[in-house]
Amino acid sequence: MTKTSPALGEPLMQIRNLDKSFGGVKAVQDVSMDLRAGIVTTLVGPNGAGKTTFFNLITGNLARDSGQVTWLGQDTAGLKPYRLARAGVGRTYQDLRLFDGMSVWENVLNATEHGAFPMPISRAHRRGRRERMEHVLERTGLIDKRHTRAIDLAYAERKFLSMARIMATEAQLWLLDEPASGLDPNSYERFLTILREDVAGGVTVCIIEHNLDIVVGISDRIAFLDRGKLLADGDPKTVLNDPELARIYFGDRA
Amino acid sequence: MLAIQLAITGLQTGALYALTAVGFSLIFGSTRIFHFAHGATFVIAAYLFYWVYGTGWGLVPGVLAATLGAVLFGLVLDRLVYVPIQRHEGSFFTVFVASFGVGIAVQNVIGMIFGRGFTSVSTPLSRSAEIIPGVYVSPLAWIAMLCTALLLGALHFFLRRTHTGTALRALADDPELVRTFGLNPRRIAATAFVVGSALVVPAAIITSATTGLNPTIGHHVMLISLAATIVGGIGSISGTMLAGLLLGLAESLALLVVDSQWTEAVTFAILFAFIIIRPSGLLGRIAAH
Repeated sequence: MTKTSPALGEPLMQIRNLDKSFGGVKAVQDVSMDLRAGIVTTLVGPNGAGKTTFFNLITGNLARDSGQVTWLGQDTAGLKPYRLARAGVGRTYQDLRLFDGMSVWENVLNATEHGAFPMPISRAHRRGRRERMEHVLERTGLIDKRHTRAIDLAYAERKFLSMARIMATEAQLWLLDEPASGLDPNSYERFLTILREDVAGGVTVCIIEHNLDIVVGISDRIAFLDRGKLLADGDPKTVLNDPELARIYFGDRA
Repeated sequence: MLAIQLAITGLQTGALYALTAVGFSLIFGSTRIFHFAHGATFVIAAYLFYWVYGTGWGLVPGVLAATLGAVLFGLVLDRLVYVPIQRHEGSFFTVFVASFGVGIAVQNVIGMIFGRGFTSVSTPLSRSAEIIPGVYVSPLAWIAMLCTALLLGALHFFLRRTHTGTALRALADDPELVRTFGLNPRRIAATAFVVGSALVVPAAIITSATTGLNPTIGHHVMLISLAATIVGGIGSISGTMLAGLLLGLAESLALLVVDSQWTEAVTFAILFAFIIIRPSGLLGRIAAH
């Protein structure tokens, strides 16, 4: 697969009739969605709605029961997850999954491009990679902690390291699983700045988020999942003002 | 004087144990494949050297043949045995039995070709010189220690300072995760097999020129590698290295008190002591679960 840059609004990833069951539980049912270039899509929905499962299915980390996922017009069936990652699909994890015993620098290094592995890369290429990594660490505020082990970082720093890794991948599509949960207001502002800059720079984002302030602040589009079904998909205000969805999201109190 | 003599011999043995064990530890630590045939890698390398050097083709071709044989064996075994087993959700036990079987097959083939008895290579460096009264050391002892120090230093640099080495540690940490970053886990695993198998070569060659070879030596090598990996702390390369040295020294110094046929029991005694008193090993982290 070659990397191309589709125009704004063109579909990068097209998901059709995605299904997945675990035993008798239907985790994802007949979900179809387009992830379009330059658009920030937020997945909302109660816990257990199938949001993370949806990520796992479209990255190929989990085998789907049926349905089709295309990336840049090509079917991803049978494509190994690492191939899809190389083709431009990056993700973060809710539980971060940092390489805890490794330094900040090494964590980011592991996320950089690996096309030629294990062959050595050219000096110029290596210099370019180092500059890119330094840039990413400066933006996430981790440059002074580059030799610190991931496990010794504070909570917010760990969240930013997870972001730094996906920034270093140069992926076109970012699948972010609750990247801002638990952040203090300052860190949260920093996170929004980073995200806005990268979206302006051409990155397409699909983000799982519970905090509705964040959702409204950054989304172009909201997809509402409940019990594996896509109940609504559209303009943030319309989706969030739907009383039926609010009832599902907040429970009967609302 | 005897104690000094035994200590030096022990360091020589321990240095070679360290190399072999670190090779196993590297493969096991990063791929979680219980590569029991690591002992067979040792036997193949040793006999290839014995054959090429013994035929009179010289030292460099001998070393090259041994290295090539060891690396190819590791790679082919990974490709033809471990990869298919893992593809079918193979359990730890299946891998172990398959690997064990390959080890026995190699031992038998070597036995058929070279005979079952002891053989050894005689080199000009094998002759011992009296360094202080009553203490005899062959140049090979110094070469063994130097070789180990250089190679383990290089390995440390590789794992800590290069992109490839970092990826190897990443695989050990979270094999699922490396894929998210576009790394092919199979290729990293193959790299671990290349490096891990190559590390046994100096040990195999020096052993062929000192204590000598027989086809069953692979079992002893494997026992030591396994013991050193556990005593050192699973996943800790430095721990494995120290444990290798410790086991070599202990095995040699034990001769002060017991007869030579009991030395393997000393290895086990140390192993059990660690399992009971310090199960995480010398430098290992205690598992979280």
